Amino acid sequence: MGDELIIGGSGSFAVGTDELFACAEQLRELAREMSTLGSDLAVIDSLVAGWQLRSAAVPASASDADAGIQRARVVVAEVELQSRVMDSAIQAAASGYGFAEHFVGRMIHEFTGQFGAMLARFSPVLLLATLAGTAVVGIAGGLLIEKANAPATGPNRPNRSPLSTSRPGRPGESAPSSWFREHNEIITNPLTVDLVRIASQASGDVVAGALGVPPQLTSLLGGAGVVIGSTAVMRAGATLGFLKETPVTLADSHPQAVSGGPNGFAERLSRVPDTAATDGAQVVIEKYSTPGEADRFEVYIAGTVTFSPTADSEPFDMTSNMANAAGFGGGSYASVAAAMELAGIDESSPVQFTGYSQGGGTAARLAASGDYNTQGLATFGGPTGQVRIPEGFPAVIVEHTDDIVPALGGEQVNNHAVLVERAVFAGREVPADYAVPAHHYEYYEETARLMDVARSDDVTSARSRLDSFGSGATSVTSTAYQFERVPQK
Amino acid sequence: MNHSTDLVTGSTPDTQVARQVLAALERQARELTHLLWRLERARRVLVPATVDSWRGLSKLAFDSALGGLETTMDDAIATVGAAIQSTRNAIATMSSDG
Repeated sequence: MGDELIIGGSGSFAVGTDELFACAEQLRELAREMSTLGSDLAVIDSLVAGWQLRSAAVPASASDADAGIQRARVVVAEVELQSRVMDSAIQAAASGYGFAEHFVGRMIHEFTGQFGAMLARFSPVLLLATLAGTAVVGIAGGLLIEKANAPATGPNRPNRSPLSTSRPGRPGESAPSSWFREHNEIITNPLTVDLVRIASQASGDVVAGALGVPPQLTSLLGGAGVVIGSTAVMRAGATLGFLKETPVTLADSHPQAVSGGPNGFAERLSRVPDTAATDGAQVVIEKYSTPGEADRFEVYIAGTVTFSPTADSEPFDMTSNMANAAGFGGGSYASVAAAMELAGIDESSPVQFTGYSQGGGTAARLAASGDYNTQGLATFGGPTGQVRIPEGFPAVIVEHTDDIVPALGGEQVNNHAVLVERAVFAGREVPADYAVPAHHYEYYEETARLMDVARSDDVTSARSRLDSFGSGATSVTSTAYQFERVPQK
Repeated sequence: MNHSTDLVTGSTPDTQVARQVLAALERQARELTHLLWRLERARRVLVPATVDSWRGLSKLAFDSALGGLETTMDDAIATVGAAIQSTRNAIATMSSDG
């Protein structure tokens, strides 16, 4: 159960397991082969003509053989038909499930959004309470956890993160104090994740309702829900001195070893910088050069390094998370954009983005910006739901259905992308080591490995397109970049 | 019945037909054997195993359809196998008849 990949997107409503789609593809292949065999049997059947079989010199067994071939043609056609019917049944079931899921999701969003908008419209106090409450709880929670986990390590290190503990982890991971760990089954419950997704999506409707926007119009907000909600939370936080954006500056950059392009999703994810291992570098850019061709670039973006609501020196923080959700470039976005400029990437340079957690959300925003010649995108556990990723290049979005971080991005609107989902802890115990275990890097790494052995066409073709991006390069270099926030007086 | 004789080859029309048919049957046997190999390979490689993703009645329906597909596939293999055997019998009979 926990190893089952649910594949969706790719421009269709169909949602099913990798096993199911692989089965459907096998059936299509079987139908194609039977069609070919049927044609071949027709050719064989014509080798001995009917009038020849009636000749006195030809034994009856030749006629038996002819009858056998004709029967084989019928049976082979029957196999072809059966495989096509089974394939269609799988597609219909997957599409029906996907459509039902989409329809129910849409209904829930409409209902919660309009209900929230109505309440806020008639009671603006609710809006104030919602925003102030969200900001205060978020900020206070962040500060408490930050203090509870303040180890004797320097700034910008992942284990300084409020959601980090003594157990080493990657940026974007979370493992706070014992209470959170002991009760992490609540946050890991897919129902909680769904509620977070709905709340995130409906937050804009609540704000719009409080501002007096008629309910009929709030439903037209669509993807703006998360943006409006996040903007409102940022504004509310800013009045309390938190969640204030700042410019960023390059603190360090250094070359690092690389032998070639990534081979598969697991290797791709492993190239996302672990700030603990890269001396704080949050961005890694690989340059693929071929004489006579434009340089190509793979950009890897780290997750949240600190969950502190105050904009300290680390740009991959909670403020950037909120800014990215609100749709304007946060510190992490600005850092990656600056690193790309330093690497020599302009609007025409072919580029692929890969990110984990906040890095996934940032990668999606960069791809959606239209400022770059994006050729591919892979996000793992990123809040990408309401980021409208353009079509025309392979985009793979990986989310765990028991991870609340992607749910913070709202409903997933990128139906053209390959959406890979996995319920990590379905049928197995939730470990007490982390606060948000399903968001932990090691589980996304596990999912990436499962994707590498997945057989469904959507996943395998996206993988091969992403992996072939750097092929043929005669020189590959890799540079790690570390950025810091510029303190504001 | 035609009793005329070809003055060049010295054979009757039935003998000529028999020669043509024998050559065609030999080719038929070869091509059917290759086709049987492809059919058996498809049975082995392309017929899917049961899918655990289905639950309840859907699983029952899918497994039943899969069982039907396997049976039809086996039938196709047996039919082609029988056609090959009949072809070989015909070749043997015609060869022994000279």
